[in-house]
Amino acid sequence: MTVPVLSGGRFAIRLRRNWWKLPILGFVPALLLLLLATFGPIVQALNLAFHKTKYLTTGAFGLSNFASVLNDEQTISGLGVTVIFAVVSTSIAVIVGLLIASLLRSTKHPGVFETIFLLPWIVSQLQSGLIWKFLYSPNVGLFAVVWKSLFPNAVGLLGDTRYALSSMILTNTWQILPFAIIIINAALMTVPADLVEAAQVDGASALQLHTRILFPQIRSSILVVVIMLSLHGFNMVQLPLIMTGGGPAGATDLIGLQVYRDAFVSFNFGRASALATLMLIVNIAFTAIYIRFLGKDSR
Amino acid sequence: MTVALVKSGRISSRTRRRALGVARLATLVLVSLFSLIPIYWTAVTSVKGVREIFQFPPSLFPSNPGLENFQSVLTGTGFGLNFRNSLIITFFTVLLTLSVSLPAGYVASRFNFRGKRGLMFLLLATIMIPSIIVLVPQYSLAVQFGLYNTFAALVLIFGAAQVPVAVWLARGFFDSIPLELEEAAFLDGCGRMRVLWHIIRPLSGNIIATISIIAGIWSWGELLVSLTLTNSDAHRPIMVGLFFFLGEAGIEWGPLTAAATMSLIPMIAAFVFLRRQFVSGMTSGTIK
Repeated sequence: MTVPVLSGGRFAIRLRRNWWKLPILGFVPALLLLLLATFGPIVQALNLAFHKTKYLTTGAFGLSNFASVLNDEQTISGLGVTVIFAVVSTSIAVIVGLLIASLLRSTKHPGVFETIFLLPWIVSQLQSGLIWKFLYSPNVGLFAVVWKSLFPNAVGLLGDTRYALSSMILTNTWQILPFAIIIINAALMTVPADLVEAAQVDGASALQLHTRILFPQIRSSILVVVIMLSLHGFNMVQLPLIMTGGGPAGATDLIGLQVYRDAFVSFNFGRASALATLMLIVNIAFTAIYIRFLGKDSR
Repeated sequence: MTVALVKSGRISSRTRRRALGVARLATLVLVSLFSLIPIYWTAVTSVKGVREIFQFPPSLFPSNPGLENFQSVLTGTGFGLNFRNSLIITFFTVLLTLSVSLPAGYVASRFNFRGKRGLMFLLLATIMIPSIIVLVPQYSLAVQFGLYNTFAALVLIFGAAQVPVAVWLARGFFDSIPLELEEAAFLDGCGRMRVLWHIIRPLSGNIIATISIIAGIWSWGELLVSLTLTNSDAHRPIMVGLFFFLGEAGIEWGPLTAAATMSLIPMIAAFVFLRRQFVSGMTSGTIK
């Protein structure tokens, strides 16, 4: 049997006789794909962020993109809006998720409810954006009609600076609530039954059982939900793109939408990449907590 | 006297329990309605005529249901073509994700080699990359490689987005298959490939279904990459077609809700069919 040789001469690399049996080969297709579509692009995005760009060509190296982004009032106010959007939707989803998952735990047929609760998570962001834009739309939308009969003088929900962000938060909450319910519900199933029984024998009320026993037992799952959903909200592009375009008066102008606009409306790829790099840093910080926590827990 | 007290105490605790049961059910039903009404409202509007859509107060049940909106979507726009494109793209994305992630997951489960921990960590780390940051480079790469406005570019990018999670799911699944099954076959003189084909493959239905439903639903619903990388109806996926119903000149809600309903049907059907696998894919890895 011949031994394959990668290059000739003194520095020939002789591969092992059974090189095609090396287990790492199973990873090669996955790595090639990720190199092409994820890791390569990340490097290029960082490269773009540190250069002046004109369409796809890069010019002088420098920090001008970051300076432009950070000196822009729009970035700062957008950051505030994004944090409110992410924090409020996540908080509501986690609190309601804890309540619903606890109720599901003591229901006889959780399967039916589980299926129904999950549906909004299946629906894509575009579909939910459109569905809710329709619900909020003056004269035709169900919510808008109800709203109008309660407050006859109000303008449309998404067109009003006071209500646009809250309306979009409700849409996002609708979409992410299933994730919170399902993960918390699955985590509750893993709490040992004898722990619950012991607490009940000791006379713990239902409330005490949850706040003292069940919720502390699943705190790492709750943390995972908080982190995943916060990032989901922080990285949001589609809902404002579809529902409001960032308006009215910047009330829903999330950071993700600003990146999208810099890139594919003004075609300033350098500036877009700089802003996206700042988003990446926030994502890394959050995920580091997540991985650290999972790592500690699995030991 | 004491007997009466105990008795009344028992009754009150029973009514209390029943009241709690009703409250619990009511809450669950209320949240179910919150989840369902937006989808129901969209579906029901799609079979209404223009006049009924603008009627006040709105009708919860269509008085005169018809398929005109669906007809106008399918004949007047490229939506039918977009729908077909998405079936193709989703099929090949699922195929690519499976054929790339199953070998990696198997290897990660059965072999120890240098750098394995690092590789698995690298895969996990991709979840912290917001998709918007890679969008510009993906666009420029597609333009440079001549893959702009092709199915191939979308399938490659969608596949890459799904592979990290799929590898972790596959590895967890193969970890759950006892080694002894394979060892017995090795002792009988089977090679690795025969073991994979005759022992592992028949057991893998569930993980294949799990990865397929997760990757499939995600690719069907993807918008931003699709919007950025395509420019003709012959290559646009369904979500881009749907997005373009948000025209500049006012929105026609009838056709829009019809298109939205059409785009929802395959997703909901696939989900109801494979709900258990979908849930297991969602939850594994997030709970310990």
